[in-house]
Amino acid sequence: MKPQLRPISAIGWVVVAAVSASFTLSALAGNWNVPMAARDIKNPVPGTTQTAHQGTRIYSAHCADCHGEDGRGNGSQQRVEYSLQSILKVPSQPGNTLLSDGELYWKITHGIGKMPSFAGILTDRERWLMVNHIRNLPDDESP
Amino acid sequence: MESQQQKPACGRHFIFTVLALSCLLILLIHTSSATQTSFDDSLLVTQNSGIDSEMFGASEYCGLCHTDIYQQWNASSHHFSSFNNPIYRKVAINTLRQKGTAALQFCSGCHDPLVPPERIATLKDTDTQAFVSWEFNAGITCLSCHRIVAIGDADGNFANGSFRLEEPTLHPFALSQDPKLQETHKLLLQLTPFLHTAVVDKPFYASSEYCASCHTLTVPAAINGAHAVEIFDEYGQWRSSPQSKRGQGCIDCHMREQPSNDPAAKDGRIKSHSFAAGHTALAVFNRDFPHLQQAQAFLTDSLELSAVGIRIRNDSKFVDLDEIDLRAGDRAELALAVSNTSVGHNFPAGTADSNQAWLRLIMRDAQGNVLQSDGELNQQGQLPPDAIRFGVTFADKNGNPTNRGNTTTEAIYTAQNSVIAAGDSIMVHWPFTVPADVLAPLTLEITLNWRKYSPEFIDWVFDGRPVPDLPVTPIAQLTLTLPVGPMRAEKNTFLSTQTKVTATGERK
Repeated sequence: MKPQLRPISAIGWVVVAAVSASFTLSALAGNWNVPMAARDIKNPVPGTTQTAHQGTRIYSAHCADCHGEDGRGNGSQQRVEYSLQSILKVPSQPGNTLLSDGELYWKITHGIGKMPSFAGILTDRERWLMVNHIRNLPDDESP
Repeated sequence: MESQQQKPACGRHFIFTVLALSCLLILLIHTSSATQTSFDDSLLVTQNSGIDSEMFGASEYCGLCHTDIYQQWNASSHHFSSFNNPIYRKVAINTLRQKGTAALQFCSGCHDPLVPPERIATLKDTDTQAFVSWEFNAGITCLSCHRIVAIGDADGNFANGSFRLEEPTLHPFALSQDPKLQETHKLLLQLTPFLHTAVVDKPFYASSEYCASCHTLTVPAAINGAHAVEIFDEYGQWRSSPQSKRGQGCIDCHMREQPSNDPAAKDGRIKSHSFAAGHTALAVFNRDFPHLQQAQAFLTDSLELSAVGIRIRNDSKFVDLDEIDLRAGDRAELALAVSNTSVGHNFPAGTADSNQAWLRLIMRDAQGNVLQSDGELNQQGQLPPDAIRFGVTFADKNGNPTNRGNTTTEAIYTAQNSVIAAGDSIMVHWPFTVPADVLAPLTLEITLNWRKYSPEFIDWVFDGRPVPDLPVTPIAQLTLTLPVGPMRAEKNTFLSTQTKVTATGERK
């Protein structure tokens, strides 16, 4: 005997479909579409003790709420479920190994979903300071 | 075994039912009256009250399929139109501080379509949390344009954000992060592409009136406290342009076709969503050098320089350059034509009070030594006050010149206007002196330069914080060689070569 599809099941699917259409934007946070040219953007800010302090300050003010002070996604707003260190290990283009400074800068500049574009919030130099700081975040495995 | 044989049939039946009902749902929603927003005719401000910002913000969702278009938009001035643009950010917060929320609402109708006016109504200039939120930094997203369902005000004007937005109806599972549901979404979309097209494409999107609904700005008296002031009107300028008469519209220049495999491509080509124009500063602030090159290539050769005549100072009549009898020690004057041959509206346009377009003129001797120059930037990168410039200066109620920081809210008068209309030419005169001991021949190098914003304005925007240098783009260049005195051959010949300059400064 063929199992019959009950109308209630179909209606349920339709409801699910309608509800899913209003999901939050953060659901698409992985679709960065970083252009190839971003890989070669050069970092003009050297990593020194002074710039490290500046980077830490900027990161705490603008990123830690979501990404956590140590970048492990444990910010007070708890929006991010992955660590920044793990992002660095995800190449933006096939064939690449790690995310370059330029690609990281590009992501900070353009934003995606609930992560705002920082192009107006931070100056060019401040965004590079942020890149340097993210590079220095502790590994996920470290205590 | 029996149930295994029945499964495929059941699965097909189930999927078919889901698809059919989903399509029906979409159709029902499409044909129902969606939440509509409209603009207030009195102030001509876009009223997007009650919109759900998230429904307009998911540009990365569009990018899942429209990769090329998404990447183009992502680098464009439309993406960086709101608080993610440091210029707008500074001006907007300053406007909020100086003129209150109503003035900012006026700006945000076009600049921040994702921020509903009721949110701005309670905004304070100290509300830093709002200014870093994603909605305030989202810019003009895909759906903020592609969900405009009507344009123009009741009187048929296209200006000041005279459009109506409606919330989109997306195919089921559109924003789901579940890969299987995303695949289902794609399948549904492929089955009913006409529904998607109906949602995101309207016949008037190709019209210049569509662009005009934001790219024409007449500040109402309610904002400046005096009377309506036209700040820019590219649409009106275009309507009387040669380009308009030839049937060319905004998108023919600013959205040129490019080859692409994008699903939206027609015959393998898409309309570029980079919206190429003259905003060279933004690309530098974002270190987006491909976009900078694109903007510079767009600008290059859009105007032309030509030598019209020359006269010895004491003579009253200009003569053809071939006929001048130039001698060492002479004071002479060159007549130049700057012609707007390719721009379908005024040059400069848009925020013509802040765009810097000027002539750089250099006279050299036979060894290349500079004998005289004008329009040279000083060590701070500032333009000299006596440079030959093209643009507009507005003035406030007391006659003080305004700048981009307060033009929109304070400009009452046009204090100076040297823009060049489409198809028109402006004549400029450049006086120069031939040294008595000149090593002839003389070479005159004339360049029409472009720079988005002045360093002084940028210092104000960034409160003196260091930012990359603003690029200077040569739009057109003319090189003239003038024989002088005894070095001239018996026949009074004159060499004139027009040199084209590429975006990188390389001469062709």
